[in-house]
Amino acid sequence: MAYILIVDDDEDFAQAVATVMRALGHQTRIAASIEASRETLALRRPDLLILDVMFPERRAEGLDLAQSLADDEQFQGLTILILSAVDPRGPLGFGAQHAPGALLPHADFLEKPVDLDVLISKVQALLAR
Amino acid sequence: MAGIADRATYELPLAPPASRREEADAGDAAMPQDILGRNVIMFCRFRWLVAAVLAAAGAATAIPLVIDSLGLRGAMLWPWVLAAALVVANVGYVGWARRAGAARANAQVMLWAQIVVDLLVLTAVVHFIGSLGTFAAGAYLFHIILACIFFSRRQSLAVALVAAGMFIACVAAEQSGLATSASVFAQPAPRGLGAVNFALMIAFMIVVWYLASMLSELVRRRSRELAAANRILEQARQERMRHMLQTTHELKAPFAAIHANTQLLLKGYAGELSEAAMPIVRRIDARSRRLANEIQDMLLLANLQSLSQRAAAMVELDLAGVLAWCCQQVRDRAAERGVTLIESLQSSPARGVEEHLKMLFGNLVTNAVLYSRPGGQVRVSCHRDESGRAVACIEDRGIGIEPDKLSRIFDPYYRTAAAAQHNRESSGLGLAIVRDIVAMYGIRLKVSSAVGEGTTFEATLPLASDQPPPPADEIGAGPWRTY
Repeated sequence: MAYILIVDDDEDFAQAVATVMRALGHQTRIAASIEASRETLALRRPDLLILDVMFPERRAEGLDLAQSLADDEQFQGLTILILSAVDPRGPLGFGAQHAPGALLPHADFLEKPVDLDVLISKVQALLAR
Repeated sequence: MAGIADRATYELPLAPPASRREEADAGDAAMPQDILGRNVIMFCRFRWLVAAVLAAAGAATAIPLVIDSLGLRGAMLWPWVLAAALVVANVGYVGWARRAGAARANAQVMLWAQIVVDLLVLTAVVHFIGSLGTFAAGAYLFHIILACIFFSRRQSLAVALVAAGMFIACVAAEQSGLATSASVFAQPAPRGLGAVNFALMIAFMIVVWYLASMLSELVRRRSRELAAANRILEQARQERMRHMLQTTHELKAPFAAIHANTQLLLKGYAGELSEAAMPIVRRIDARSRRLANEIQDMLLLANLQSLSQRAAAMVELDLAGVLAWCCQQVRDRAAERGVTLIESLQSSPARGVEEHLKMLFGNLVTNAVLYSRPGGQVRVSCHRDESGRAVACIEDRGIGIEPDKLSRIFDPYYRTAAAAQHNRESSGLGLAIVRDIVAMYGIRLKVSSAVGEGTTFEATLPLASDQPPPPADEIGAGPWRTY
């Protein structure tokens, strides 16, 4: 059983992901903002961080969090699954090819909307690393 | 008054006031530096021609027949001397222009140097041909007109004044005896003609400068207005595109939640669904997927129309590989519909952004499958034609398209009634995406169709040497910026 932190301002989506993760036997917590996620992260280091990219106030705030965690010694090696609705091929988009070296190989990317089966297999693969 | 002190105020900033008219009125402008630079070279070429004409004139005056028939004084040395002076000056200009980086730098200085030397040479020509007894001084008008075209009004006035000043100085020197009056003709000019010619020439210079500089300024102002309008339109287009992209992305987020929660129901995470509920949830799922396809296609189209995508790096690739990938993507759907995919792919080197070509041919192959009837065939082939161009052909035996509707099928959201009835899941944007990619690469796309018999798309890719360079990235890439 793993502890998974889901950081997403879309609560409906986050709840759906949490439901599936709990059905797999994992423990989950949801943080609806980057600020809330920092508080939750300080309490307990998750085994996996499922992270949205776009937040209302700063559009790439999720990536900023990922970057700051990659730079933080306390969170070295933290596995992050970045879930973004932004098409990585578009001018506003980003994907694994754009991620700075410090984030990889501990980060992976999935585009929203995502099939739950795809999400499950990606999470299991990341937790098995 | 503490309550008032705590109140925060924010005023929405006004839109930037720059307008087309203000840009057009911005000063007394000459041509842009790079255009002037190109013309420095052009003037150098023209000067070779003038030197050759002078040399030819000098040579002609050595022929007695020419001297007799034109009534000239005799053989003349001065055309040779002036031609040599022009050659020396021109060699200097060309060398200077090359050192200055294709004459782009300080083109104004270079042009002024050329003008002054040219006017000096011209004044010498006018003097030797006959300053008052002939119309040789009319050649000053060419300089004035050229200055009006290439320079600002003030600068062209300066050129006109220099030209008039040199002409007046030449005449004054001749009249005062500082220089001997010269003429190529043996017969002297009629008395009084000199004064008339002098007055006319000065008047011509003034009038020609006034008209040419005014017209030139009107044309330049219009050009600036058009350029400014074009810039505003392009900015508006880019802004609209960015807005559309962001709006569409915003649509994806709620859709992702709908999609995820529908899957929870269908996959039993919320318990077993009743028999009545299951088809309803499936319909919700199906419509959600169709909406997702539409959003995806809108994004693809908007991405293609944004400059940063067009500036993506092109690579050498094999069209056969791209088409094989497209067939692979659609194979399951073809099998579901009982459509046979036949591939005949010969190695066909091409150049482009792989993602774009996959979008282009992916759409065509998918359409061929979707608009085929059960048991139909889709043939996908590629080869190199005799000139080395990669040619792809996608042929189906599906429902076909009516002839009068062929030209409209590339319009966004256009679908023929028959197509909409046959395939309800189409977004109507697939062929608009195809159209944009084809335009971007200069691909020749031919479509032929017969209702009930099928449709064939033939795409001929240009050779790498024929492809236009991609435009500069004006949006600015980089995933880590905030927006």
